[in-house]
Amino acid sequence: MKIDKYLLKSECSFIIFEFISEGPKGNIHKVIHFQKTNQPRVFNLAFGDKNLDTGDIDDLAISNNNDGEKVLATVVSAVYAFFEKHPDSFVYATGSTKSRTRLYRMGITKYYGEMVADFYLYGRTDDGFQEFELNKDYIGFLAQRKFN
Amino acid sequence: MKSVEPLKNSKVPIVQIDPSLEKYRNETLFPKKLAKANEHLKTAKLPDRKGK
Repeated sequence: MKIDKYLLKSECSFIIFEFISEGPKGNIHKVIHFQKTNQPRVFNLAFGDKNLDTGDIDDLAISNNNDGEKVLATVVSAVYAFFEKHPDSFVYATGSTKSRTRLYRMGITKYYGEMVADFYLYGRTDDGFQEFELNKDYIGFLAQRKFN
Repeated sequence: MKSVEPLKNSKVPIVQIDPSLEKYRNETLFPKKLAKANEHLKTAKLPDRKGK
């Protein structure tokens, strides 16, 4: 994925990442968190805007800084970094709204060829997990890193 | 001299370590998102983990 990305910062375990989105709305600090879930070695990918005054994180904010592609590429690069430290994990992602989940699906679809080279991809339907298929609706996505 | 090509072409980014982010590691930053994910994960069998 040869798209511009923002510089990522993280603490030493690569669980929390931060980057700065730059655009017409100024500099917006974004946080990515790989959250431990109720399943062993399954982490949920969550991200949102950081309020610099309070330190609070808002995952419903729509900052729309005209850099959606760059933000998506940066989040995907954080996933690669995460798997370097946690190679045996799964990463799950679901949007805070249906339209955000659809946005994730669009992102996976756009880079599908590259992604299946590096990840086993699954989609969550009402019936459970199945191998990710293009043009199919899912409520969440699961990835396991391939190491060839 | 070693080539920098593998580094340039790697999808694994260069990550700057920022110890100030440690304070968030044990916090639940997105509780509703985590609750939603846990619900999805709890009610479905995970795919078998594939070997390396």
